[in-house]
Amino acid sequence: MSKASAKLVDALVARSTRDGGFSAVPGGPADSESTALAALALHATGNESVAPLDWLLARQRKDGAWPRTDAVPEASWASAWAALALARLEGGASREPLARAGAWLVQREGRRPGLLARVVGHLTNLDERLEQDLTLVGWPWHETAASWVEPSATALLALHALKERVSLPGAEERIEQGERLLWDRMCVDGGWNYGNRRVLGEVLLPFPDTTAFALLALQGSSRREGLDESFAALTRLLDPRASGLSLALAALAFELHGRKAGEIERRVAERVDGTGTPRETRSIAFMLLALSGGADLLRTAS
Amino acid sequence: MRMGRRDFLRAGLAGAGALVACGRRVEMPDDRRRARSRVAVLPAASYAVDLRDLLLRGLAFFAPEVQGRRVVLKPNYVEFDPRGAINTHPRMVEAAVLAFLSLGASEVVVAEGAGHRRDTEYLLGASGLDAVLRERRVRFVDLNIDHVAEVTLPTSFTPLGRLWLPRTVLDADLFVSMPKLKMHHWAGVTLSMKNLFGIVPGAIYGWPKNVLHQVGIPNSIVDINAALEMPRLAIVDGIVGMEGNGPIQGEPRSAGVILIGDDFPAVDATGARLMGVPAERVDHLRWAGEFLGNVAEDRIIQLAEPPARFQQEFTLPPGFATLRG
Repeated sequence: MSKASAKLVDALVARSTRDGGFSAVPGGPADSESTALAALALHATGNESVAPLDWLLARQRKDGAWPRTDAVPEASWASAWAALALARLEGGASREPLARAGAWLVQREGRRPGLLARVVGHLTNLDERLEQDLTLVGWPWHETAASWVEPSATALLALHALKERVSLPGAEERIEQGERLLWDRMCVDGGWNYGNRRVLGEVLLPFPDTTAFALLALQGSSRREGLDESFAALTRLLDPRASGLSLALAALAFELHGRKAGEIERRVAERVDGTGTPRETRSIAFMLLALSGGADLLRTAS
Repeated sequence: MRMGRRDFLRAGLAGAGALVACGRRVEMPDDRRRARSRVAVLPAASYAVDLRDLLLRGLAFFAPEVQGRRVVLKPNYVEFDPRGAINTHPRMVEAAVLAFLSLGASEVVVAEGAGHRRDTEYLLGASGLDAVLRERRVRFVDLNIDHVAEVTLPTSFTPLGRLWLPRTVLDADLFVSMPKLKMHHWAGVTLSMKNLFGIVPGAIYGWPKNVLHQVGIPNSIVDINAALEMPRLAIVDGIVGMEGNGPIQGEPRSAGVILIGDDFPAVDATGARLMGVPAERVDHLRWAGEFLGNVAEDRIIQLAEPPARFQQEFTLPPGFATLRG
């Protein structure tokens, strides 16, 4: 294990909680996203601890979703990461939790504009100004919200992983429409931000982390148009200000699309050696996945 | 005929005991307004002046009780653009940290829950705030992933009823909203009240905080502000503001001013007027001015400098011509 990876493992372990989970920052409560990502990252380094998987299994809701934390019981977008981690790492006999998680993800939809909003959108020319197909459905952050890039991308990754393990009626249709939504939300010159191409007619620029998430989710997409532009946009966005999280996600996206990621991985390691480990657990986990050959855990295309 | 956004956001008094906000009838909340509120208007030509000293002079008008207390500063780091004026300047944040420490605060925490970007490490580093935090050894709390508590909203401008809010804010001995003086393409203006969108945790509500947009931005602004009970101050960075298509894509506009006050609607009404916007025409200010704080000019005492000295006509956001019409 490299020196950088060892540092990241130490930082990750320091975020483990007494109940077997992982917190987003030191001293916080365990949460589903951090626990799932930590489990994936530790697995990539050869650590086969079952504690985070047990934490996740113990907290799955009856409807198949996961809460964000014990204190916030409502179904969270982070369920996608929990489902993906269990699908990839949980080798137990029972596939029932996976089927339940998959069923929840298949039925979870971003809110479509209601009749009044559609009328207002038409009268104010909103759809045209947004340059978005508002009929497409992906996944929301919150049950009452619209579809956005990052939760849609993570749900797509999870569905791909789940359907390798269990039968998931309806998954293919959701994957197909989810991919269409991501392509629809691509920024004008490639790449993705949180999910708007334009606001009030003004072009919005992409972000590196959301661009990498979308590219990870589109590994298996049959559409190639826009792919080169988006990788070019991602490369431009990896300027000296880019965070360790963005560098790590970009390295994973390049690798999983069969593109050279070595230079970006080197920058991830340099970041750890130079400025230390980031504060947030998910950043540490993605950096560890990038440096420890963990990309296959996010692979969707055979 | 095309219907404008303003037509949908129009609201007004609907008779005794109730307001109508975006077509939603709201029972008139308890009147929390003071007889009069005070807002300090302080000249600051640039970020190179002694901002700590300037803030101390402004804070002296309000004599906040901070001895041995924990102060939470909430600047605006919703997004970053090196060409723009989106953020509360890191030097302003630094000056506030130093000012409150010199007044005896036991701890000053900087806290933000960015609205567009999840990548806080990038935002802090690129904006220069991280360098200030490290130099001054100030703790930063990412409100998007903080411990939360469920709060029952005392007002019903939105149908939300309850919101998860971060403990760092709810438990603050003094909460300081530190916005930038900006126009806003959905809310008209964004100041200390709108800045509180950044306390709503993204880990629950997402990036952007779409849930708040769906139930009405001005409505959400009022409900969130009405839910806070701890002592509060506002310090507005108006040294360089933003005009036009704010809060992200507008143009920088020098205004050379800092506002300080302990009544957010009064501070924001003053800020709106400095930008050449009649405060009563901004929905959330008009509604807040009915019960939460003072917005009417004759109920605000302007301290230090007369606001007229700094008043300019900031370019309005697209679609907001009626703010001055």
